[in-house]
Amino acid sequence: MTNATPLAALEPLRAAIADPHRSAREWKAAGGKVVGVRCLYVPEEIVWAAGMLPEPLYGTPEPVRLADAYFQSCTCEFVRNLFDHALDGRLAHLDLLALSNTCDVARRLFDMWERYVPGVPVYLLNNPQKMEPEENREYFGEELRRFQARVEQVAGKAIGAGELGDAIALYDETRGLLRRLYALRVEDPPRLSGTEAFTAAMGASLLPKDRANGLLRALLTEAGQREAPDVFGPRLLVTGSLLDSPALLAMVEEVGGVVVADDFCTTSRWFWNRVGSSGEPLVALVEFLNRRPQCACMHPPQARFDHVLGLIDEFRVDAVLQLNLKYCHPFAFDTPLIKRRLDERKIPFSVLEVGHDGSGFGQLRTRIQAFVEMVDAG
Amino acid sequence: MSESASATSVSSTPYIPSPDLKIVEEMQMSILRYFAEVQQAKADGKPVVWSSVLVPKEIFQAMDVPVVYGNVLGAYASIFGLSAKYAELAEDFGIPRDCCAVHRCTVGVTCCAERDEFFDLAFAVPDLVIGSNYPCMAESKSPVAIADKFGIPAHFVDAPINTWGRETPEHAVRYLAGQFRGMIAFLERHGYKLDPERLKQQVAFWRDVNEVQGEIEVLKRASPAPMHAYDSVIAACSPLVLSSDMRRLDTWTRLRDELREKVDRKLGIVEHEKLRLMWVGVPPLCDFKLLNYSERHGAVVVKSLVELLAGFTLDPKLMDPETPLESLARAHLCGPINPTGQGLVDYFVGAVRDYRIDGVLAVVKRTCGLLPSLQRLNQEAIREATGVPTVIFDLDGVDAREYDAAATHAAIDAFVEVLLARKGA
Repeated sequence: MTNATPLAALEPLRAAIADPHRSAREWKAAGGKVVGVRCLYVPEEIVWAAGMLPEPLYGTPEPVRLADAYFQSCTCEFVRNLFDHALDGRLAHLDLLALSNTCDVARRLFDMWERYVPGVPVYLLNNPQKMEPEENREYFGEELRRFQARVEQVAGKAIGAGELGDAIALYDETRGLLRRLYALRVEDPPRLSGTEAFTAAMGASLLPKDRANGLLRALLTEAGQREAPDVFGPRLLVTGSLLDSPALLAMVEEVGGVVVADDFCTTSRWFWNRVGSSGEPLVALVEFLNRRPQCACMHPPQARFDHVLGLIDEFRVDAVLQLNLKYCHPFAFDTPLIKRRLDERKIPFSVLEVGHDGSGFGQLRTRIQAFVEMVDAG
Repeated sequence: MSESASATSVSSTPYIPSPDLKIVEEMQMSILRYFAEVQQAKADGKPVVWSSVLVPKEIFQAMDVPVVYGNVLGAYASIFGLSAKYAELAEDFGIPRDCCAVHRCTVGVTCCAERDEFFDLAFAVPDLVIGSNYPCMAESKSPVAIADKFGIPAHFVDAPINTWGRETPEHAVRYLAGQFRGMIAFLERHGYKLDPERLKQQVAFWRDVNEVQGEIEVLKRASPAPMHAYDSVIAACSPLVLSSDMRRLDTWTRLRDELREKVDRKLGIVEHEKLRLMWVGVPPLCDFKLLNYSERHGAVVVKSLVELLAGFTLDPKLMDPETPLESLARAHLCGPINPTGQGLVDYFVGAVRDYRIDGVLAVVKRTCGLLPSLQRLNQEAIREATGVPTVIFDLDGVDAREYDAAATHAAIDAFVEVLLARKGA
């Protein structure tokens, strides 16, 4: 999107990504507590309602160092990178790490953290993996109550009447603003690049939501008034487990792809749905988490495939690029299944294995460029 | 299929050791008859279910459901030296080489148009699939791929991981029992019927078997060790795939009595037992003899993870036939294969003490998501609690393309030599 007017309102969000622990440092400096969260099924609203800052944890594109003495090198590079951060003190500011029950490696991260990161307590939210509210409502609700109790213990306060509802409303506003921002990419050509949208979502995730919402509102206004740039190229959906840097999307756009939608745990899956204001808040969270666009660890898998197919329709996608983090088995197992569904609809599909440490980007660039040119040639 | 035909199929392969114990030999033969029973049920028009291995067999058996445990077939592909072919087929299907080798072989077997001779005896096209996330992600994902491949109905049993310890909360028990009820309802929609009394009988039967298995485990602690590691693996896995004629308490009481006689007479499996080892990790399926390899040094593998991974031995004290589904749920939640890492580590530390282990062989199958990361935790916990050393080394004994027999032998030889020197033996 080379001829697009720069978006001034995006800068604070970009800055949040460049210094991901800044909000946490400021929060701590003001006497607050911070809870690290990963993955998609930890309800940040409970943390916020207890007066603490939920900090989604992202990795950095560095080779794994210290964690290799603990995890085998065949283990997810993102998790090893995160464990590096824990071991070298970059996460020492956390008052709690809250993980959810997703893949094997996330469970092992819990075990390893409990043993080798003594300064930061860790909690594993034992969410179901079958997202059928009719079956899991009681179980999931009780696990959320247990999580809430632990959060209250760390916060040193009970969540008062109305506080969880207020937190949900605040987060719903963030999610709604991001949905509206993403909707700007339905247009052809889109007024917002994939890199910009990703930056807005990831940046907003790192900031306290009362602040993020103001920035997102300003960004919506600014982007809405922006002239649609001249961009030509195939409209792409980029999907995968998680992406914690806009660099890869920027690469796709540099070689001529127009990223009109993304589907990652760190971006759109995080904000796609809203909780709503009806009913008891914890019950509403159970329903929301059941409806949240799934990662590949969850069942039934068709729900995830339907979500991807829905994005393809909504954003008028020409082709799908799947970025599989190296050693991410759940998404790897699903690859032939999603490919079959896309083949049936004659949607070009390419899957690329991505190293979290940024290695092999040159090769990736060549392959992405070839894919974009192939799709463009029709 | 006659028993002699089965025997020919097994004995013609160089890959499988002969069991030492007579009853284990019978169990091994019985597994082939089990496959024949499933094929016969298919021929009789019954829908064949492919299932994850840790879905309660008690329910299937109470409903007379013919079950193929998909990754048992994947394991057999490796045991018969065919893993490269079937793993490659799964890779052609689109599952990358860094995913679990057992499950790749399983998917490969389903993808194959012309399977090898053994699968003529063991393969039955699935009509239904029941998957579960118990105990790992691959176990949860490969059934999905198989259902998708055949375009058949699938049902998923969600088993929570145990983050609560031995005191499993009631909401978790209710949830897992509800998952079992959902599975029963799924089977009933496809023509099966649950007789509640038969379910109670099955739970009572397997509770009794598990009690005898507990006695067998105590006998296995004897020195000199009365049972080869390979025999132990077959005996541990057999409850899942025994033909109906062998599904009697007598099968296990005979094993117990055979072992007791050896223990009473101090008949060890090696002449001079010098070391007792524990094997932690996926066993070397493509070179099953390796489980007995260290015996040449007088070092015996007296406990191996597969007995735990098989997970068929639930705590009999938790199995109450009067509340069959709830008690199965409680027993599964408390089983050592379904904890967080600490539960597994505690299990292994206990085993090192109970079986008087001198050293632990901990192998890393690089395509396994569940175990490799636990090996260091396990190593440190065992050393701290007991002083017993652990050697950790890479061993993909499933995908023959990744297997290096010479390097594996060298790793075992070196560790055993160090242990012998340490012991002054």
